[in-house]
Parts: sequence; C-alpha cells; structure tokens
Amino acid sequence: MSDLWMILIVMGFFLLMWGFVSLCNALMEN
Amino acid sequence: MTFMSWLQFPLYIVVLLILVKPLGLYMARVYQGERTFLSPVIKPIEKLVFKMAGVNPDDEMSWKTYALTVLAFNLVGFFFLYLLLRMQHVLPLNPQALGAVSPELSFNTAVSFVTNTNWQSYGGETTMSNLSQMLGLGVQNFLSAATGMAVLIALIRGLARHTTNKLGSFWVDLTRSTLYILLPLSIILAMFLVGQGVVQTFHANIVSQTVDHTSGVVLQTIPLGPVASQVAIKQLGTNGGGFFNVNSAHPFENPTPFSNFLEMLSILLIPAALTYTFGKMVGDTRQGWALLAAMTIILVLMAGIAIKAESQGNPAFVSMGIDQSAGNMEGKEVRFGVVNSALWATVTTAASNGSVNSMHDSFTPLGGLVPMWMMMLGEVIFGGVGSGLYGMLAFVVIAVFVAGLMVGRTPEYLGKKIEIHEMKMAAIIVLIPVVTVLFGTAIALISSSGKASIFNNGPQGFSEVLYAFSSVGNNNGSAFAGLGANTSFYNIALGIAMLIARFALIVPVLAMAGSLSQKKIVPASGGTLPSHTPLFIGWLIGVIIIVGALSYVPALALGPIVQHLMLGTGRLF
Repeated sequence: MSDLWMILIVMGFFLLMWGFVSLCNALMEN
Repeated sequence: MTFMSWLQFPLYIVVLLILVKPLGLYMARVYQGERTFLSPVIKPIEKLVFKMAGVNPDDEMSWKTYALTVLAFNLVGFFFLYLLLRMQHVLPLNPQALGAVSPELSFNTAVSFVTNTNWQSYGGETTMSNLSQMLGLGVQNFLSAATGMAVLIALIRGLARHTTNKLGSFWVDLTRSTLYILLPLSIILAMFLVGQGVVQTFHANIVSQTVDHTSGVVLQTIPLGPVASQVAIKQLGTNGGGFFNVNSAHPFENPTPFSNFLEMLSILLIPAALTYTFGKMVGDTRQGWALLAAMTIILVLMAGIAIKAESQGNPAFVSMGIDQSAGNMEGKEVRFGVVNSALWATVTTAASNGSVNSMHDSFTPLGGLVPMWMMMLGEVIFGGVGSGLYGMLAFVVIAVFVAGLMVGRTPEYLGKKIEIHEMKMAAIIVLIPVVTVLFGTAIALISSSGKASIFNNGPQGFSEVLYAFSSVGNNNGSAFAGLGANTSFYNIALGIAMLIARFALIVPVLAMAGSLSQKKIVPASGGTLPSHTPLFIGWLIGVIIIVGALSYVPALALGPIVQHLMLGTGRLF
C-alpha cells in the first residue's frame, strides 16, 4: 500500500479521536 | 536451580522497592514545580525551551484542551518519524547504506514508537539507519514516555484538586518529564551500560573472518551502532524497542549479568516510583503504597509461576535425552539462565516495556502464559510510565464503585464521589484493550492473510497471534516471534490496534480527570471505604484478576492451557 493510504489511515484515526473527545465531553455534560 | 540463581528474584524486588520513595519524592517535587537538586542546571534549559516554544508555564488547560494537545502533538510526531523512515536512504548517518523503509513498515514502526509500544516487525541492524534509530526512534522513546507521564499527572491533579477545570499544562508536564526525569536517568544508565560493554559508536559495521570455516561461512558482519544511549531510554521509558533484532538477548545490548540486572531494574523503576509520586501529590502516601502493594503482590506471584515453569524444563526434551537440569534453556542466553530470563519476561510484560532477553516463543506453555496474562491484565501491574498507573486508577474506580454498591454507600475515592460519568470512563478504559485484543485476534485467525503468517501449527500458532494482539492491544511490544509479522496485513492491523490502545484510552482518562477535578471534596465519614487497607488491596487485586479472567480465559484455553495439557502427553508444536 502507498504512502497516501498510510497517511489517510492515521489522519482518519486522529479525526475519530477528535470526535471521541467531543463524545466524552457530551457524556460529562449529560 | 541453585540458591544463587533463585536469590536474584528477591534481590530484584528488594532493590526496586528501596528506590521507590527517593525517586517518587523527586518526581513529585518536579511535577509540583518545586526546587530540586537538578534545578540549578535544568531550570535555565526549561525556561529556554518554554521561551523558544512560546509556552507560558502558568497557562493551564482544561481536560479537553489537554487531550486535543496530546493528540495533535503525537500526530506531528508520527508524521516526522514516518517521513524520516521513508527518507532514510538519502539522509546522513547511514553507514550501512540501508534503503528506505517500506510504507507499511514505516506506518507500523512510526505508530509503534509514538504509542510507546515499540513493536518491531523488523530487525534493527538490517533495517534502520543510525539517524533513524537516534533522531527518529530514540526521540520518540523520550516523547512517548513523557506523554504517558504527563497524562498520569493530569489525572492525579484531577483527583487532588477540587472545583476547578484546570489540569495543568501538557507542554510543561512533557518538558519536565523529559528534562528532569528521563534525560538524567538515561544518561546515568547509558554510562553504566557502556562501562559493562554495551556498544556506543558511529563506526560502520565490522566485517571479520570467522574462526571456524567448516560451515562455509568465511566472513561475518558484526553490527555496531549507538546502542547504549538507545537501550537506556528503551528501558527507563518502558519502550522496549531494541537496537538489535534479538533485543537484550544480544551481547552488544546486554553483555553481562550486571547490565541485565540494571536493564531489568530500569524497566519498573519509574512506574513503581510513580505510585509514591501519586500518594505524595494527593496528600496521602498510604494511597500510593496500597497501589504499589497490589502491583507487587501480583508481580511476585506471576514471576514465581514463570520461574517455576521454566525451571522444571520441558518433559518432552527429557525423553529426547536433552539435559533439563538447568531448566528449559531453549531460546535463553547461557549468561542469564532460567531465573533471569523468566523474571525479565514477567517484568517486561508487567510494565508494557516489551524488551526481551530470551525468546518467549521458546518458553514452556505455562511459562509463556505468564507474560501473555500480564499484558492481558491491562498493563496495570506497574505498567508503562504513566499509562500503568492511570490504567490502575481506572481499576481502582471500578473497585471502589462495586464495593460501594455492595455495602450500600455512595462510592467515593480520595474524597471524590464516584458517579456515573467516572464509571463510564473507567469501563471504557478497561474494556477497550479487551475488545482490541479479542477482535484483532479473531480477525487475524479468520482471514487468509492473517493465517498465512503463522508458521507453527496448533495451539502454538494460535498463541503467537493471541500474544501479538495482546501485546499491541496493551502497548507492550514484545512478541512470541514465531509469527511472520512484516506483512501488509499485520503491519496495518497491529498498527491500528496500537493507536486504539494508546489514544482511545488517553481520552477517557483525561475526561475522567476533568470530571473529578470539578467535584467538591467530601470529608471522610464512618461509611467511607478506606482505600489504603489490606482489605482494599485484596479487593483491588481480586477485581483486576476477575476482569482479566472473564475476558481472556476462553482465549487462553485455546492456546497455552491446552498446549500445557498436551505437553504432558509428549505432544510438541
């Protein structure tokens, strides 16, 4: 697999983590 | 086994415990911004770093800002390391003229070192240039360790503080972890290791004539490099990634029994001392001692089982006429023997270090079950620097909550009520590694790509896959090593598992810290469950063991347990 795929996997994961931060914040406020 | 070889086990535990308080106290002073004996030298450097980076040390962060900063910092670290590995063939300090690392292996390695796992699908001396080892892997060894320590300190502040949403500054915690703790200890350890014969040079590999030409091999390449400096932070930062392929079994990484003792000691040194740091920072050192006691009890029990299993040797070898009086010496270095090998295997998997001084694939089934189980417990028995204790604190929250339900009291820990949000976060922290390990193993075993890399049949092959995912799913990094892991499937699957195990845990840990820091402190009453007593220590151990057992016994039954039972019939795999 190429460099682009590797970078996309990592970027996708960190975007997911950004969303996870928002989810945990929402859970805290409920 | 001789008395002297058995003596090494209690000697190790005693020396480790003696060092806990002095180092723990020093680290508490560092994180609380107090003056230490190194301040005259390091404070000016710290101020310069903050000035150059534009960091105001008094600017503190909420849990959300802290978490996003950790994620952003590690993302940049990944890209830097990935680029370095892909470009190493055109960069300096490559005397072996090694080519660029492939995209999948670069991805796996960069993720591995950024997440403090240091899983290595490669042999260092034939894959990584000196520049990659030092500037890439070595630097991430420091930064990933410092990241774990910073997150732990944020959680400790969450427990210690009240009615605030500030958890400190990630930049300050990262810098202080690196400058005051990791760097000085690494320099000292590296000097001791050089004194013992660990190589430290930029000299190119040496090609020499072999003494015995009967095998047809006339010339031998002896790999060299800046090893001691990397080994020091490899151990102290619970990283585990060796310079050489066989890690600390290599005589240039670990030449003598004394270097072995020092390297083994440095694996648990900071994680053990952090328990005292925790107690000091929350204002009750008994809390830290309680956690240290729980960790030590489990470690001693499991190390005892591993040492006993390896000491008894392999009964199948006896029937082949192979002398087992020294125990199961397959895959072990003669200069270390069975006790030091089994003890190291237990310690390295307790600590999420992952370095090895023997080949775990060659352990007896029960001997191999111990390191696997230690990882499966969540790397909370001491665990990684920072990550071990924050994982343990998640178990403490669960233990306190369940105990509170049983006695009909509101669960509280260190004066903070444990409520639904903390429980949700603690459950996520405990269960994410379990899901990662079991799902990862299952996917590997049903896919043709996953099965193609298994070279041992039966339960041994199963154990190799289970061990691999247990290792990356808990950021350990050690391997059974019979698995052909440098394939597209495993490089990507294991890389994703490492990312999940690291960052999908850091987020809920910080969320829990943020929630705890905003609570008021409830004074202790007659109904408060004390969390420093032998009863609580026993209860905590029980919770850890039960969660681990419920999660993993079915998988272990398919691997090392059935292999142990079949060993009795003389069946080998």
